Amino acid sequence: MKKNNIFLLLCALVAIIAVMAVLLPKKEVAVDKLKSIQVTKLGAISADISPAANSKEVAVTAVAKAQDEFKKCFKKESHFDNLENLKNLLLEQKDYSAPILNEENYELVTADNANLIVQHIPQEENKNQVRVFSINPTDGMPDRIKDFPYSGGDVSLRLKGALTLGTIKGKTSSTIQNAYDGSMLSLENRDDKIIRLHLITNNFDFECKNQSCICLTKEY
Amino acid sequence: MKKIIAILAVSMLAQFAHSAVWVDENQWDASWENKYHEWLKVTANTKMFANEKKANGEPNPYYGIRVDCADLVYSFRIIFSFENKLPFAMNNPVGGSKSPAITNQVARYDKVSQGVPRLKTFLTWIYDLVSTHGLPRDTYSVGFKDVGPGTMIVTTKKNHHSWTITNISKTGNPTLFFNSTNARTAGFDVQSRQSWPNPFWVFEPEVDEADPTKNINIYLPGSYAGFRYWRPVEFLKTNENEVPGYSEEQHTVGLGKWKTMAQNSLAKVKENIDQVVIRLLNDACSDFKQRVDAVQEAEAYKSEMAADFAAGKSAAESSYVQDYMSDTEHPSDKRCLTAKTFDLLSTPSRDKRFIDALVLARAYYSFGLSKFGAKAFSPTNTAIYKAFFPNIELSAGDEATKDNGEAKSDFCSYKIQSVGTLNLARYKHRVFSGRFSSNPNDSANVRFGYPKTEKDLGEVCPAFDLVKKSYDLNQIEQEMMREVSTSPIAQ
Repeated sequence: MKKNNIFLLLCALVAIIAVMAVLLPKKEVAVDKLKSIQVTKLGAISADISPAANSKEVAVTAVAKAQDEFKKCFKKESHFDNLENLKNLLLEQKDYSAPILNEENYELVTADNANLIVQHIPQEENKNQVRVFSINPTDGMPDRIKDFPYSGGDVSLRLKGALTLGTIKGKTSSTIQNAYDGSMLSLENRDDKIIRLHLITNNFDFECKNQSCICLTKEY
Repeated sequence: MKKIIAILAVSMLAQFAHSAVWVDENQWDASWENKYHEWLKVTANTKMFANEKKANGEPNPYYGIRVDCADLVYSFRIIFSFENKLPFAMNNPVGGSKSPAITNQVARYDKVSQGVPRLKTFLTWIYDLVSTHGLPRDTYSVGFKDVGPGTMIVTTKKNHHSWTITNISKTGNPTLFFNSTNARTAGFDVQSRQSWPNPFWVFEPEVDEADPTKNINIYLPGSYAGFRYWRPVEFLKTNENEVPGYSEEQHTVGLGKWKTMAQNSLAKVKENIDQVVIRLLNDACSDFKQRVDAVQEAEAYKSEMAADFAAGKSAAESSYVQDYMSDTEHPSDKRCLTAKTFDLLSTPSRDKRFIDALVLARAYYSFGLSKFGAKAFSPTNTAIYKAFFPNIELSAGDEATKDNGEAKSDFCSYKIQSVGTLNLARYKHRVFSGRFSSNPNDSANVRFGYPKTEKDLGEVCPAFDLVKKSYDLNQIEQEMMREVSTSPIAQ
């Protein structure tokens, strides 16, 4: 009888553990949630205006807030309503160098419907300048593929060879540009559309993404 | 029935227990960070992956792990996390900002035995993902006072290198652990040095490949280069400047003061001039050893490639033949290296850093003699310095022309396979007089300034963008003298 009780207790314990394993949030989820942390303590506007927001009112408010943040950093009014406008505005203000490619990622689909990423990092060490990854269908994580067409060639040849592995479905890239005063403008693009703009100067950090902008002034 | 339920229960438990690379039992906090720092001080050594057994005679579970510089940075953090059941998380280097983090919770290695075998499989996967380029996304910039064991130093992409600090001496100098790509013939050793790297190299501007006359200044607030520390997992996806402890101090003091600020902030006692010079020569000795390994790596590559071609092996049978054939613009002479391999095995940056290090040691010695007098140096060390710098009263450039290279010093000698034993003082003489080669198509003899052999292909094979440079020693000396004048010893 006692043994039976212990056995039942064990079974119950196992069942509880199994349920917990299913119900407990995964680490990734926990980290993901942090993206929506409000950054008001840093003097920023609401950081989580979803790009999917379809209310016109919300969009107008977001633009107004972004323009306020701009004013905080630049001490003047501006009337940009998207990141492309804003970039052009900044480039008109100062003489920046031509954009230098920091990184680009091509999303490919192969003939047998597998997903690949071709990563090009121009200034990395030679072995890492062109990297090809397959995306594991089970966990969505990358696995590096080292042998691909022209993998022994120079960088441009390797990139060309890697891009023959499938059809390009999308592309992200990031560039940097310097101004004469040491300011640095970083842009992140998705399919040639700017999705993040970050200007670092000696006096402030000005960053826009997800339809919101943040101005952080610096004190040394 | 009971048996079936029992089997089910055990298998469910096993499923749960095996789902992660290791199961988290602790969480990172200040106390665990301190334990991590202590662990680095005590455990990190150049043989930690090279010795089959630990000091106590037990098998070394990490024997045979082969790493490059970025791999090593991640290895320390992952191994400590594994040993102490702490979570490890890094950004997915190809996943974008919305992609889930890569953590020890991945279930893909369920079928590998738990413990060290699973850890090693996980590490192999991580090594394929990480690079110096990706390190800044997993770390944040720290102020000088927060630099210590566990802090890493990351260079700009121009030099794509990284070091982990494992200790800080009382005189405020670091023990830096790192490894180079060319470590195949060097066994599983990793490398260490005891001096701060040159900040002008750490923050060297990036170059626009499309127009090499343009460069991008990376030394500015918010830069990804310099001192960095691991982000807490909850700040992995946030902007770097939101991480508690984030600092731009190192990016605002000026490159000329970066090293001095680091040393002054961390020193408990002042380093004397003799300690400075001998430390720099010890570092030059480590650099020399690493160059010997790098050259031997090139020699092994060429010899194995030649053997495979001679044996008529196909690309499927030989990685050397495959590397050669996969480059459609490979050199016509099969003894020559392809562009990619040439880049991997050539040593121009390493050679320039070596010259800078020796000129810096010379600058400190010269400064010490004039400021503190000969008595500031111990007789033993003085004998070493005199062998290295026989004409210290002259400029570095003039010394190069007067020095006959007959230096007799047993300080730092290495055997170079199929060449002979070379001591650092003699090699310094050759380097100062331009007798060395960074070209991996040259033989080991020519790489170290010995006479040419029939194996030298440096003038036969393409050298791609490697240009034989003549270094202006006097100009380098002036730069180093400026560094000495702002160093703690001059204050």
